[in-house]
Amino acid sequence: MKFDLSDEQKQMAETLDRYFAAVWDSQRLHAHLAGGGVLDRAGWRKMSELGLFYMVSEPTQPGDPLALDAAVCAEQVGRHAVPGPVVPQMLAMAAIGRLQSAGHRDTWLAALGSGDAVASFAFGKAGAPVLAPCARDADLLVIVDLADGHIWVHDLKRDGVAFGADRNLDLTRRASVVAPADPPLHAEHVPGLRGWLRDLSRVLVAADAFGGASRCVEMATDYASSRQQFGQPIGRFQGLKFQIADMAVEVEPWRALWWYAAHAIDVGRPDASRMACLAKAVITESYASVGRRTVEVFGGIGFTWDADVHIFLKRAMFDLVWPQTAHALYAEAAEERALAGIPVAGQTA
Amino acid sequence: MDMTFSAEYEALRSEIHAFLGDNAELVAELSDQSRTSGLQYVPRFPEFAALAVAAGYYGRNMPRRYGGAERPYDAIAALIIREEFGQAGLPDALPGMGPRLLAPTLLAHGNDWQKEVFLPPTMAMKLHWCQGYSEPEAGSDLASLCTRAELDGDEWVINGQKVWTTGAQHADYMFCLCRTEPGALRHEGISYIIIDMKQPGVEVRPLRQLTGDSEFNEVFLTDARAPLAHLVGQRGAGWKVAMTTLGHERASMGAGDGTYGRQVEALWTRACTPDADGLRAIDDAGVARDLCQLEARAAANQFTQYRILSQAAAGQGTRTVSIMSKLVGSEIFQDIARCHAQMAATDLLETPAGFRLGSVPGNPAAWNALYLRSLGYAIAGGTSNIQRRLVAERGLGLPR
Repeated sequence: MKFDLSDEQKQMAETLDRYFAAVWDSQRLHAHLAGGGVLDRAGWRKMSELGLFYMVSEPTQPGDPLALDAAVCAEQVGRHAVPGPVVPQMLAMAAIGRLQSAGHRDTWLAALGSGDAVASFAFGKAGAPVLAPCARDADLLVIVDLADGHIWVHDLKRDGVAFGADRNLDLTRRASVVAPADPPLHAEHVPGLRGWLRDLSRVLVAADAFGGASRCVEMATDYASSRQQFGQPIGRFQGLKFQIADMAVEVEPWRALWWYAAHAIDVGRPDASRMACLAKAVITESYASVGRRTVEVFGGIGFTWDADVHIFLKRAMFDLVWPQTAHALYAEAAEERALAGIPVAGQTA
Repeated sequence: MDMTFSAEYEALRSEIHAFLGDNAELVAELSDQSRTSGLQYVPRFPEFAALAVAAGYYGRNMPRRYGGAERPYDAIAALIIREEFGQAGLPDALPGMGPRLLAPTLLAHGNDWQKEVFLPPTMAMKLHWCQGYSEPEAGSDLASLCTRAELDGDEWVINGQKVWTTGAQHADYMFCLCRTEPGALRHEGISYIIIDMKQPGVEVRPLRQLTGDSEFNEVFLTDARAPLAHLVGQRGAGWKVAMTTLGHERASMGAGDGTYGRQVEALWTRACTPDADGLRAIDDAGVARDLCQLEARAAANQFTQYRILSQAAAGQGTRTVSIMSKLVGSEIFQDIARCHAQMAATDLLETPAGFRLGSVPGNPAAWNALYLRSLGYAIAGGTSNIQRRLVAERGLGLPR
């Protein structure tokens, strides 16, 4: 029994934390916004050197900490508001890496793994438009049908791809409604993959949201410790102090929840799907709530474009609805419980 | 990350199963009686306590010569004991102020004579204790307490008033904070003194709680006496000694024995049960959302306890998370209560009865008792606002 990250995972988190802090500081993030949120391809290639995109692409032994490793990375991505479809690209590679017909599989994996290519990812149906993160930057789009387990790989750079409404609120991951052009580059039914991809996507977004939410608590704490009013740091006033304590108390326990959900996926515990579903819903809701409260802690400056807080708040709004809304996840979890019915008296106590 | 238990620990789990099975009749009786009375006052509890100490489950941190099981520190074993005893409706350690609060404090700060005299009967559940900290004018601001103890030859003479004194009506002794050094700074003039409750200078008046029960009391000390030898630690060092106790109290309040998860499961069951009109609460999206969130919070709380314990076992601290435990736990507890009340019909008006901390209410009266009792949980052992201050200042490092 050891409910903690391994030394390797801790080291990986530290490495990413240092790298992202250096590359994606406040100035660079604002420059990215000023550029309209267009993906920096050179930076994407550079980032690939960390091995990030390969995290879940290779099928390994049951029990290997694949989901937890990837989630530990996603936490750091969220913590530094790293622009680009990091989680969608990990998921796209997770799907491509498990295609059974070789085809272009290894070519795609090499191009995506080295950052030469960019992938978006969505759950959807054949022929129906999907909301795809960073679709205008991406070369490939992987669509997984949760109802029947079909996987399609689409070329987004070919003629005939219809880009519908842009959803550009979160400029670190601007999304578009895309109707890919037929035929797809590849179509395949991979048995047993859709549930895993669904759970994985939820845990990775939950970890991204946790990283962002805990960063908001840190930003609020730092600001309240340094900002002076009435001749003292505003963090000395209990009104504000308790607000920040409540933010921390809302966020910190979630760490153990996404750790568990990721680990449960890796070792195949029976409650893995349920915990991934709940973790995604509650952690993204907390992120949005804490993001809003951080704006309030910062006061007027927090309401400006030049402050960093809105970048995180908008990422929280992205995480809240992608790939499913918290509302849909609650309905799913409640329905599952309702179908399980009423246990025989005495079994629950 | 590894959530499996090695063969050694699986063996421990089986051994505890067998132990509880061998004593099934006694366990059932205690679990049942503890719904209406503090377990430490149930007549047959000492019998069970002795068995559990002998088996090495209770009193693990206490040396054998003081009536403990004297086992090496083992966070994983403690977790298994907590889970298995919790499942059986029993606490994971000897209950009551004596074993929980006085014993670890005495072990850390008491002298040999005090340990030999007080610890063995306390661990055998033969002595009952109460905690004399709060006063009418010293609640959250405990250091403003003004009960005085003055030395008269080799005896302390104590005058003052204590309040919210849980179990004072049953207690043999009180561990009491008194001001002994007039003129000293507020934290430096306090001493920790053990007072015999069965003497003329001690008057106990039970207070009736809003639940209808009387667990706590006012205690009036009028020329009460205690031998000089009942001073624990140095004169004027009582604050430091008391903080040891308070740390133990809060840690014991945040513990995760799976209770919240079991209570949430009972809420789901209620939500899935059609009422007289055939309606189910679960079909209300607001209720479904609240239940999902509570399930997630109960699970997160449980996993956070695993995290604290794993890091403790590896000799690492989890300071901020540990400081949060009590606040997090009391908020989950209150929200479980609110969620049930939201689903209740006129059964909400039943007279509250028959709930104890750590149990899953089995009927409306017990749920009502939980609804009210959870309020007290947010106050006892340091109010939630005091906890917020600790989280902010000691956890996050916000300015004092």
